[in-house]
Amino acid sequence: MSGPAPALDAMRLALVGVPNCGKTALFNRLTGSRQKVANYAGVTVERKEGAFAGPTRGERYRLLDLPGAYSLTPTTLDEAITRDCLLGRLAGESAPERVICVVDATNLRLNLRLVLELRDLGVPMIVALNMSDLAHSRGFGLDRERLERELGVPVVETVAIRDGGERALLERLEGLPTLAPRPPTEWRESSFEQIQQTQREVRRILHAAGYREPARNRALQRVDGLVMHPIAGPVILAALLFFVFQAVFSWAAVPMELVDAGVNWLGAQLHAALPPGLLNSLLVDGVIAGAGSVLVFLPQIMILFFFILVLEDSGYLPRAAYLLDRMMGSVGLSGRAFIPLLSSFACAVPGIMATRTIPNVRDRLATIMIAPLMTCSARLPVYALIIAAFIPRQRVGAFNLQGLVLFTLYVAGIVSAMAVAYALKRTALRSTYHPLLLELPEYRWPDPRNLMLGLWERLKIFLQRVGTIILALMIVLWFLSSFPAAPDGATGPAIQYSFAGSIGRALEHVFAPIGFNWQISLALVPGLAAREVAVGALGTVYSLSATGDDVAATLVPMIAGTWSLATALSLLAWYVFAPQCLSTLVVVKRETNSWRYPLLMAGYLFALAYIAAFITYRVASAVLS
Amino acid sequence: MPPVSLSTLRKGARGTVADVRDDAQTLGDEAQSTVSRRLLELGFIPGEAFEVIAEIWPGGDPMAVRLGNTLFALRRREAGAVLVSVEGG
Amino acid sequence: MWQAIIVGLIVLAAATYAAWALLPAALRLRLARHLAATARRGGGPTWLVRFADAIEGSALRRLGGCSKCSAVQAAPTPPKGREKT
Repeated sequence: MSGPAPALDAMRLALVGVPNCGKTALFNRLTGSRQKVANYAGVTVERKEGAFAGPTRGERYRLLDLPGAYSLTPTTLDEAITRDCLLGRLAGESAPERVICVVDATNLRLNLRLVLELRDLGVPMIVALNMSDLAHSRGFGLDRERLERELGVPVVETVAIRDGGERALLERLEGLPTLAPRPPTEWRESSFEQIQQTQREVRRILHAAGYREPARNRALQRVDGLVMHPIAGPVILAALLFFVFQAVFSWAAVPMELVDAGVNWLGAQLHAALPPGLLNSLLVDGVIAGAGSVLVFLPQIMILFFFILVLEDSGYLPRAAYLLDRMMGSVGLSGRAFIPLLSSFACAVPGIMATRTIPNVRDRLATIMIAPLMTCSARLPVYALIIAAFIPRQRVGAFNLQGLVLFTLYVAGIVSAMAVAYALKRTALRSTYHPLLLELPEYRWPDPRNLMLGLWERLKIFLQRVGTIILALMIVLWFLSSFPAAPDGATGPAIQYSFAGSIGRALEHVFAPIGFNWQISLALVPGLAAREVAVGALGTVYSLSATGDDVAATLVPMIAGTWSLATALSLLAWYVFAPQCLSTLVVVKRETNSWRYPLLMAGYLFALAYIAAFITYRVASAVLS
Repeated sequence: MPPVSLSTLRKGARGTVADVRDDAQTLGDEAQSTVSRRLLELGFIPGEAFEVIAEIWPGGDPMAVRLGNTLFALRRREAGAVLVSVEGG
Repeated sequence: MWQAIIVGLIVLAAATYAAWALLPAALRLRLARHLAATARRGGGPTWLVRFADAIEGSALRRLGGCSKCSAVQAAPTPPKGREKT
């Protein structure tokens, strides 16, 4: 990351707070892009550190964003890290010199207890009354100075999502003296009596500071009345998810055509401009056809991420977890597992890491094992390609048929995940009861700035991925597909005689029973690195197979013309299950500290993929012939 | 009226919290101690106003409860640790 | 002729990059450290040393598989022991 390296004498601060208090937004506001993500020694909890400078004297600070915690008595791994860090117990880390305790100004009753717990331990702190803009606009009353006097620690108002909203905090920080490093603090679990006492103290302080809480916004109450309604709630959830899939197809149609046309145009230009030969083939069949095929799916992925980000920011997700708890409970998981599983729809990697918020080890493991079954965004190019080639673009009633099929594939992923969870929880990962006990934060309009930043991040990641690993693999594949060259007098496309052709033919023996031709079998190999690479590989392989001058033909008509519907369906079934992603396996290894689980996961997923593809192919062939 | 367990209440019930039990035997699980503690930390303390605002169908489990100004979703099983006084008849 | 050379270089670069990216993290880190140490020891030209350092830095950051989202970049301390709950 760019930015000044933290000076050795920079004051070390930490951000602490309960979940949903806007801590991370404040962290982002303070540190901007000057963040570094690492790991705490010995465990796999993410350690986020950043740096910032004071506004007038330019003093340097180092800031740690600690995981959200409701209390210093931990129930999850995350909370244990927060406690250990604050107490100076973490190996290789001394306690932060000062703590910024972030509280949600619209929910002080919940947030203030932790502040008192830390204050009573003697942790030097400054309290940031976050979301104070919301508090003012919603009619919350509070005498900040009185609160400061009652607490005995500095209290400032912050608005993490607004430019300059951190100003008061920065100015106050500058005025505070530097402290000597503290030895690890003594700490014991509070007794129930002590907790109740602290809570009474919280209420006393709030009363003394004139804390006034308005009744909840009527409109939002009515929204919750619907969203959490026993019948309407699940219907709304299903409708919402369904709408998202429809949108992914219909909204993306035009942008995709544009990208496709652009890629083809570029390919045609290069083909015409360069003298025929190796370089021409490399650029047109390898780079453009390969990486270009994947690039075409950018609009769909962006739309999908847009919805995921909106849902995450809006406060809807915990309500969805509540609605789904029963269903997830039927397979032995808690509704809490829903949120990491939803993240897996974007990419299983952050989804698997998000399972750290699941307190029970076996639950967590089960969630990790089924996360790859959640249809990740890398599958989207594969699904979209096959759907575009084989599913006609027609309407069924009010719905788009292609969107309907995509929705079905996603449902298949979810259903299979539930089935696997059920099997796991019945056998290897049986566990005792563990509670739901989930806070449902207030609804929020997603911050447009955050949304744009999130999408931009995603866009960069996608382009980076295409421009580096996918491009590199496509070039290598091109090479393997072009050499050795076809012998003289050979009939058929030259690619059949190349290394890749031989590899494909060899693999075809393995995959013939499930209907994969040698091109597909070959494409699966680089597809192990990342799912969408298979699309690029097919692009390159078919482009090289094109005889004559039909270089401008795109992948979709090629596939539609040469594959059978049974093969296409079989490939879809394969992709629902197959663990074609090294990254996921690596993260599972890191999160579980052993190779056993990723290998088990790869094993069971490949087996399921083969079986599902086999059944699909045989049934489809029989039905369709 | 003597305090009843939160787990017995249906949608619309309101009142104030009376106590949080830490009775591992009654509730059958030593994990319940952790749950009771967390309930206290989240604000289920004597005197706090609550209202049951939603429940799942069928079965009514889990339920959603407004406590003060905060909403929580919890299952009947952990709600069983909370004793409340219901207002009205 | 020149075409073959250019194409060959491109393919070589792509293959090297792909191999590098797909190598298991610990192996990659060791390789990077080894290369960096060799470059420094040999008293090579500064650009070579800086390049080697850059590779080592990149290997340190890329300890996750996907390594593209911020969630995965890791510090060099390998996780040891099992997490407790």
